Amino acid sequence: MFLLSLMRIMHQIKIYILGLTILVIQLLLSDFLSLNGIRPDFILIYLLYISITHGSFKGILLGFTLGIFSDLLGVGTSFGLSPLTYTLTGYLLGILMYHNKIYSQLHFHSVWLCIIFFHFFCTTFIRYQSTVIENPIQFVLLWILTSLYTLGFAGILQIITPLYKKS
Amino acid sequence: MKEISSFIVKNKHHGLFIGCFILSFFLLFSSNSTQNIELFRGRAIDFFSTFYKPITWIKYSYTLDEENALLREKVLQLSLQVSTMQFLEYENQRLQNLLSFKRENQLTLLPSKVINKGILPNINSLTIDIGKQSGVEKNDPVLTPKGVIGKVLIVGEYSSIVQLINDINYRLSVRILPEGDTGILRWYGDNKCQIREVQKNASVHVGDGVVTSGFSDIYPKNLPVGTVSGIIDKSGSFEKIIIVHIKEDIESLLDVFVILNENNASN
Repeated sequence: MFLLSLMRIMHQIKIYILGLTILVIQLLLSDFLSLNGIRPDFILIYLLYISITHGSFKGILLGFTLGIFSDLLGVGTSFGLSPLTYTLTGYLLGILMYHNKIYSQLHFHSVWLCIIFFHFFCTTFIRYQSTVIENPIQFVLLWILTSLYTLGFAGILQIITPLYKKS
Repeated sequence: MKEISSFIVKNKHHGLFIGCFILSFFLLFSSNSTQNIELFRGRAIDFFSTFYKPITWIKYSYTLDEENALLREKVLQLSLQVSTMQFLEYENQRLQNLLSFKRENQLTLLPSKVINKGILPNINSLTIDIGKQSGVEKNDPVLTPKGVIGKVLIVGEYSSIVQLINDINYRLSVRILPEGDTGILRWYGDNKCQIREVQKNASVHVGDGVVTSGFSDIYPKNLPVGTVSGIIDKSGSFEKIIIVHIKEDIESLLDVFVILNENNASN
């Protein structure tokens, strides 16, 4: 009985334990994978998979928790930005759960790609708000390149475990 | 009653979303004034610096051979310079004594290693391996031999978070040499900064040096910042905008210096 309830608890929290592992991996590896100051966001890729397979509720909880941890570990200012954007992304991606049966493959992929681009737009916009007015081209480049770098890794993962089938 | 509970269960994710969203907003707009959050973050970076250290060690070992060769070359160059400098120092000292010149800045520099550069997609902060135990305090300036790169934002016992010059909220009061015009510097992108609020009649040329003005309580005056690489002088504007090139490559920082507060330095 005890073992059964322990297994049930473990099943519930394994997503968060794996999330924290991803956070540590991000912490250790992102510096090695840095290209001209741009780094991949493994937390977002994990959030993408969890939200689409487990729905909004778990996506929001995971996004908020990992966001708080990422802000605690790094960036100097804008504390609260990561939980804000990850929560929003987790919520939006979670809506896509079971939608592979409703949407076509092209439609499904377009929606989650738009959400990822929107996530990076929000973070880049808040961090580089003065650049938006003074040098919009540089802002757009920064936004697109940051998004594409992370999406590159998401694309590799897509080959191994397609999101469309996991939803 | 059953309908209400089923409605709550059905829409729990909407409620959670609103709750988390409001909480994040609260954190985003109150973090600068909440001391408890800063204290908690200080503890967190102390805890997680144990994870960074092995990786930093590997990174340093990897570049050790290259660094050794570079250092040997540097030692040779410096030993040649030392003999020249000794003579200059002697002459300088003699002239200073003659003029009863009192040296204004007695800076205490504390070397430190960069152990992490944050985990978010764009670098605008870094973690260094010294904290309160070494006498570091909030707002201590951080620089490299090439110039100012930021200031200490959060201090833990054994590590600290540095806000880099490329952070959106970073501002620095600077002076342009040799004329001495002052302005406020902020990040522009691509290793360049902008100096705003420079008088229209200021005489600034490309190649002029930029140093800290000494007007702020944080930065001592005359710390190097960069060099002027462009001037924007619009006819309708009341100010000149000066583009400054930052010599230090922010992304490849490995070692930095923290300027200690005089009181802590004497302890």
